Amino acid sequence: MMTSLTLQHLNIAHDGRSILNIEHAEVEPGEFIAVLGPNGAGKTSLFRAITTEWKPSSGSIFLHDKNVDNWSRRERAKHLGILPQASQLTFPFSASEVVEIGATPLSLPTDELVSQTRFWMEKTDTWQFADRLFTSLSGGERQRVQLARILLQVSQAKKPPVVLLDEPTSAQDLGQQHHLLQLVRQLSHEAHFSIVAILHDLNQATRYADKIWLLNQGKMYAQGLPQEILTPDTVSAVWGYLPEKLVTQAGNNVLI
Amino acid sequence: MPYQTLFRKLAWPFLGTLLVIGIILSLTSGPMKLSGWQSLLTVWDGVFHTELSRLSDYEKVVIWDLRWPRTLLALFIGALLAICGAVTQGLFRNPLADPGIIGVSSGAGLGAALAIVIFPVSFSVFATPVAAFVGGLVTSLLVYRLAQSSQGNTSVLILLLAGVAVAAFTGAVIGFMTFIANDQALRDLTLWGMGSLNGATPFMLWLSALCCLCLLVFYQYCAKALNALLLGEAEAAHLGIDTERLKRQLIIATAIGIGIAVSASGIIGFISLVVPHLIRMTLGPDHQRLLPLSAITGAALLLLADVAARVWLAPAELPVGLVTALIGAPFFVFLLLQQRQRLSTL
Repeated sequence: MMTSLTLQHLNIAHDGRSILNIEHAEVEPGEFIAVLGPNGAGKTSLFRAITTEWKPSSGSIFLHDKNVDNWSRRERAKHLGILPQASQLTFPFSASEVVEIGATPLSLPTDELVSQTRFWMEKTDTWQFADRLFTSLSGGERQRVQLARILLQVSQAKKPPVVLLDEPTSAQDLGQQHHLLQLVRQLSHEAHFSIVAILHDLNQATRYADKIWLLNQGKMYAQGLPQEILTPDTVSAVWGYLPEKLVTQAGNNVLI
Repeated sequence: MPYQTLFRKLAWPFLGTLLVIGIILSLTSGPMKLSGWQSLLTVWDGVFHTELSRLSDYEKVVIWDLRWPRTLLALFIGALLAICGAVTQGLFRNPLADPGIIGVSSGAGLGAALAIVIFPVSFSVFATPVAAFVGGLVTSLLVYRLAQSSQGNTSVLILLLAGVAVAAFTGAVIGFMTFIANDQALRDLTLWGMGSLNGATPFMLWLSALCCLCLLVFYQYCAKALNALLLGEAEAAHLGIDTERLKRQLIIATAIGIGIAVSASGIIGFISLVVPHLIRMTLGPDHQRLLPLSAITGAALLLLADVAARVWLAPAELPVGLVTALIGAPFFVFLLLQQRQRLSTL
């Protein structure tokens, strides 16, 4: 079976301290993985290792069965995108110009660039403020503009791309959170994008993700189907809070 | 912003006209009043070896040997300063990071001043640009190291303070050298310390023209990467850019540009700050557009400043650096006011 992303005996240390240890994990094309875990569990470090920002002290990361280090920077960028938590941008770019920067590793002709930019901005519900200054947008709006940029970046991938989302819903209001997760899920199921998203809301993870990676204290505590993993007992063991499990009228489990 | 679409359409014709007006004014202003049309014909004659101009021989000498080289030098240096400014600001992701303000120009000035005093005149022609480049490069690297925080941001406060420190040090060394310099070197130093386009030797003219052209091409090639860099260094790396290499290349290229500009015309401040900022405010920060438009605006602005320097107290001539500082310093204060909100949180 071909995988989009494979982590093999991965060990990440920073400043001499071991941060994350994952024996084996993989993502298939079209799969939506939610990464969960308390603060300091190693979620962001995992992303830093996948994007080669940090070099693992041992073990390897494969993107489409090829070590991430062996990809050319440009080809890798076409197949691996990451949505950052916050943006440093202070220059007066318009929202659509920010999205267009996503095409940096691509060589799109101008008319194609314009139509692709519009396409992804409409998908992320940002087209209505395409001409406004990025810096004047609200946190949630900026996050969605950045998402459009990332999706444009991986839109020309030859193999199913991998998209890492670092807390994509953190600044969104409730409606937009569901809209965004629905979009991401649709991209994974219809366009075979592999999505790895750090989420905080367990019920959203249960509802949208195909699989859960539960990290705790730098280890993969559990991985598998949401219904199997997110039980009151595991939640209590990892977060130190025993939730109550309810079943909705539609038959879904909810932890509160 | 609908007005930007209109501005973008008008930018090239408007700035082109401004540049042509600047060239004509630069050729015609001075103690000797000559017709603009005949002056242009004289230049045409000189370039294409024709005999169209009806000016007398000594008038032709004034145009061809004095005013035309000076015009060209203003053009190239203005463009060079403006694009180097635009790139430095992009590199540091800060509109206040101007080579003049963060001390790169002062560093280059220090190198150049040392070369002027230490080497004999015949040799210092070649040594000055090299020494200025080295001075500028060392300062750039130093300032960049100082201002880089652990999170990958650059600190504006450190940038500005580094500029103050380097400028103070340079001022002291140049002041010290005026005591040990001989007469010729002293005259060179004083004139050049305030910035002047008077010394357009053919060598410096060709050197600045070549440098201006090369940097324009190279910067334009980096324009998209520079846009990505504005998002943050990690983001640029995720977009497939080798950020370490890009930064290194840009710092060296800019040090060459500033080094050559400073050794040709002394320290002319604020062009590199004002011009890119004006373009960004009216036409947006996209480097693909910003760089060529900054070049043409910088050229036009320095030409006009030089004309002002020549006619203001005619027949006496002001150093052009004084004029650009008179325009630029208030602009810098305006920028500080605008950025006060952001700066006060640092």
